[in-house]
Amino acid sequence: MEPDDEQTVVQWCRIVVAEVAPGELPLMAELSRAHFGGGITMDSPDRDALLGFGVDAAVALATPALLMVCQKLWDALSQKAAEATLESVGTLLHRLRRRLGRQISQLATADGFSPAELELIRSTALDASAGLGLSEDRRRLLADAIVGSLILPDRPAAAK
Amino acid sequence: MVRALAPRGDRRLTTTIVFVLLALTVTLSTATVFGSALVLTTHGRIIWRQSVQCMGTVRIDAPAAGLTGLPALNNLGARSKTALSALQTCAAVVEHEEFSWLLGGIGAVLLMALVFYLLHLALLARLYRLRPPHPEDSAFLLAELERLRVLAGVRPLSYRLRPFDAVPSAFVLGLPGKRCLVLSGGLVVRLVTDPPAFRAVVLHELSHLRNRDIDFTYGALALTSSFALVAGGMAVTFGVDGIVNGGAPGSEIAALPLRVAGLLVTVLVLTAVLVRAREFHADARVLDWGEPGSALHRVLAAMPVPARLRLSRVHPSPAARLAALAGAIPLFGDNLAGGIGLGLVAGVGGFGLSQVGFAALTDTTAANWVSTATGALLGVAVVAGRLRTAPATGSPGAGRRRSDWWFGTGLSAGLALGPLLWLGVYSTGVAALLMWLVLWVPLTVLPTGPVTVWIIRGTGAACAQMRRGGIGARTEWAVRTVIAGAACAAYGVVVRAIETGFQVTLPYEGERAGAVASRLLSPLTLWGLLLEAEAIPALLVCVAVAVLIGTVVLYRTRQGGVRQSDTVRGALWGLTGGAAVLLFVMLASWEGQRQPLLYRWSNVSYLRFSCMLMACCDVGVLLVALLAAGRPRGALVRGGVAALVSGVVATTAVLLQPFAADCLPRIAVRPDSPACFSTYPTAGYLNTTTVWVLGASLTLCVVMIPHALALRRWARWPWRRAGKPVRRSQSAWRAWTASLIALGMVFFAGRAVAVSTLKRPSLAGASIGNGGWIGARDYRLRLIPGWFNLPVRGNSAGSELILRPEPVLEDAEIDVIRESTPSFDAERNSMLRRGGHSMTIAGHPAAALTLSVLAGFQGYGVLVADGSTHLSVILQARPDTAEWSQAQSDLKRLLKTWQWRETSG
Repeated sequence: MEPDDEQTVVQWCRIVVAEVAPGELPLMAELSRAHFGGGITMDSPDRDALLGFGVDAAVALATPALLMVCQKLWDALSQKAAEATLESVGTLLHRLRRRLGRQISQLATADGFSPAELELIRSTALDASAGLGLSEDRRRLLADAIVGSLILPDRPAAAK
Repeated sequence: MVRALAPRGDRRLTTTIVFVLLALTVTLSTATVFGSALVLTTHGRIIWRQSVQCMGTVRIDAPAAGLTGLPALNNLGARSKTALSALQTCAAVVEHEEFSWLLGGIGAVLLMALVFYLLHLALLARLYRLRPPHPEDSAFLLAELERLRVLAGVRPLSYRLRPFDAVPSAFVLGLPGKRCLVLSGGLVVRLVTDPPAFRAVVLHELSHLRNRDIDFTYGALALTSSFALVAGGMAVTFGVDGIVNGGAPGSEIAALPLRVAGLLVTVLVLTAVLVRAREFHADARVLDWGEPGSALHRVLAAMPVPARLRLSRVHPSPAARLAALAGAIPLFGDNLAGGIGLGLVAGVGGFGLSQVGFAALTDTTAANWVSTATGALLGVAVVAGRLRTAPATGSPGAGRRRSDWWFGTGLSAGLALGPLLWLGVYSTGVAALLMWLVLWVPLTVLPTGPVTVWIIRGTGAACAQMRRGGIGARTEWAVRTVIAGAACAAYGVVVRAIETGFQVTLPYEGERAGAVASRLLSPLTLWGLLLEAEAIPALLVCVAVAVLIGTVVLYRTRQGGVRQSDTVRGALWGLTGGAAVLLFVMLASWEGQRQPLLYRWSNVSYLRFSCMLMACCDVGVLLVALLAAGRPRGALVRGGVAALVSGVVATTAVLLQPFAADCLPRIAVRPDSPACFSTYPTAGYLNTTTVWVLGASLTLCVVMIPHALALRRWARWPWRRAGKPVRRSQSAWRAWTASLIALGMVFFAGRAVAVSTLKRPSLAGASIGNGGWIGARDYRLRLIPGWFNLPVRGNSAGSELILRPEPVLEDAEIDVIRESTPSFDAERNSMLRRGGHSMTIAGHPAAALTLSVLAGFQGYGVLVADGSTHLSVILQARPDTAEWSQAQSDLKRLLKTWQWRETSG
């Protein structure tokens, strides 16, 4: 994947994370770097650190799955654009790049997507998350969140 | 809840002590490992043989260095000086090599530990993949962290994330001035999902910073790691080398890895104790900050139960932490394992330190204080660990009595086994070593295990009274200090006793199991371990002082004084008990006087006899106080008064014992010597006895008050449950019967031990006839109790008589040396010129002179004419001590018994 595309995917994922799992935002940069650097390898869950707090139950992080889904989604859309099966996909990618290139705080509904485009993104996202071992509900949730990130109202506070 | 926890000062103190113990253990363990390894090297074996050769060829029999004034003594000194010089020259090379080797090993371990400590931030950053937080993404997180930092009063620090760790956790690390707080990815998420839990965890970490845990904890880890690497590496290297190349006996090759493994386990246990104690303290401080840390209980309760046997686990279980927060469990555990761990590390470190002390310090008295230092560390650790629980557990008898006994048993067992890792006992037979272990551990635990229990109970009692009395902070600290001081003294005695016993009873090389058992089970050893060690009286005195302050004084203050009726009743009880004690003292005296004089001349017999007296007194006084206190209202006061009266009576009885004993032969038993006990113990001895009997008896009773009350409840319980009225007379009758049986058992047990031991003359080989006369061909003198005649065969120094007091008092010695030149007149004139004075010894002219003080010794010389020769009687002892004045007095008494014999030739 090209660096620009990686940037776009990370930004897209960041928007989704800010909406569905805002607590994971501080981890976003490192997790995405690891994701595109060879894959995320989580530490052993029962390692007890000196002067730590003890071994608690691990929490499930949404970011790794989201990164995976967003990357697959972007790849699928790029492939469709390259194969020219849908002429409008190229335009859609272009608009997505433009929109996701902004900071979260600059997002607005001005660059709205049509229902057909959103449906296309949602169905592709569902397909992209198929091989990740996620439950159906969770896949649907992620797909909705991804689509929802594109129709976000102007809500700068969400990032904080 | 917060009130149940100890003041903040205690938190740092206990773990600081543990760290000092750890550093000590690692340093000394390194020394012993390197010492063992040196023997396995070719060069080391050469050095060792050379050392043995030095010791075997040079014989030192010298007067104390610097004693001058008599030609005979000068000659003796000159000969000895030559021998000493030869030994020093011979041993200098060996010592230098050995010292360099040990120093190198210790230096390597400490240097590596320092490197580990300095690099721990970089190493952990790599291991845990630490990353700085993104300023924009983490703005909210950083703001919250800063808010909590300010709340905790921690200096500015840096933050790092462990983004690949989904477990909600955090830890702190870093060098001074560069502290760092690390948050896992899982914890970062909690800032949004569960903010109170997030704050509790972060505050726990900030508590580590406030408690200054980082340096000690990472320092401990660095020490442990470097020791494991260096010592372990050395054990493996020499083990492989020994197996491949041979050269060393198999036992020595196996000994090094075994010893390293044992020491490593000890060090790891100590590190674990330290780390876990720090966690308890950190949890406690979180609660001090109130609401922000209020979710701590919930977080701990929700944590999963960890696997029990997971070596990598450095935190206590959540249940244990919750219990600690409630003040229900002490630091360092309250079970057998906790006791063994603490005892083991104190045993290893303390014994090693004692060995170093005895090697480095020429003054054995000063070296003895080394053990006291170990005892002090142990005392503070135990008391401070318990102080935090005592207020929460309420009365001293509440709750965990059985666990106290287990903890005490473990502690004593650990102390008993710790020195084993120091000494090279692996050359002894396996059967002998096993036999020694089976017997030695119980023999040590039985008399010393209760020490810990008493300290815990005493601490609990004092704390309960303090809480009840609502005393001020300063008074509380004073009482705490007194308790800790008393415990330190008690453990000092215990540690010294165990170390001495260990060295005395350890199997010799080649000794058989049967011989070991026989030696350990001999009445002398048993009696010595149980009573001569003085651990029990010392403990009771020390602990009781603390409890006296915590209980009696405060009780009296709060209750508005002592009721007169209680005082009278207590006095009556005390008088009754005192009469019983007096009877037992008289019986013991009578028993002592029945022995032939030859056996009574043994100092061991005296010691045993005195211990029997003290045991009888203490048991008697204790029972009197128990019975007096085991009554309704005023029990405390009555018990105390009864103890006081009994103690006074007992002390008086012991003081009067020599005089009473002097009369006994005339009315009961035919004496072997008319002198009887007229020469009985020295003033110092009597003083010591008096102090022990009075002090121990008095305070023992005070300590026993809670138990007396418990006994009373126990005695009444069956009737109460049956709904019947309490039958006090029957209860008292039962108690009296039990006490009489106990007293009888103690007395007859003591008698049996004394009689069976006394059948073995402890002066076998000495030239003592019946009546205590010793001497040479033309003179004789009579030994006074406590002095021994050492055989002089093969004595190159020319002494024909050497007398020494009881072996433990090796600093005093009397030598009789026969010389012919210069003449007696010339010698006497020389002495008179230097301040001496003339006298006569059994009709022969003589002169006496106090010799100069040098090198810590003082001398007193007496020159006696004997035809063409003259005899120099020289006393040397440490000046300005009770021993010196006593020894001088003994010499004069010895000279009064001097008699000349008719010689045939």
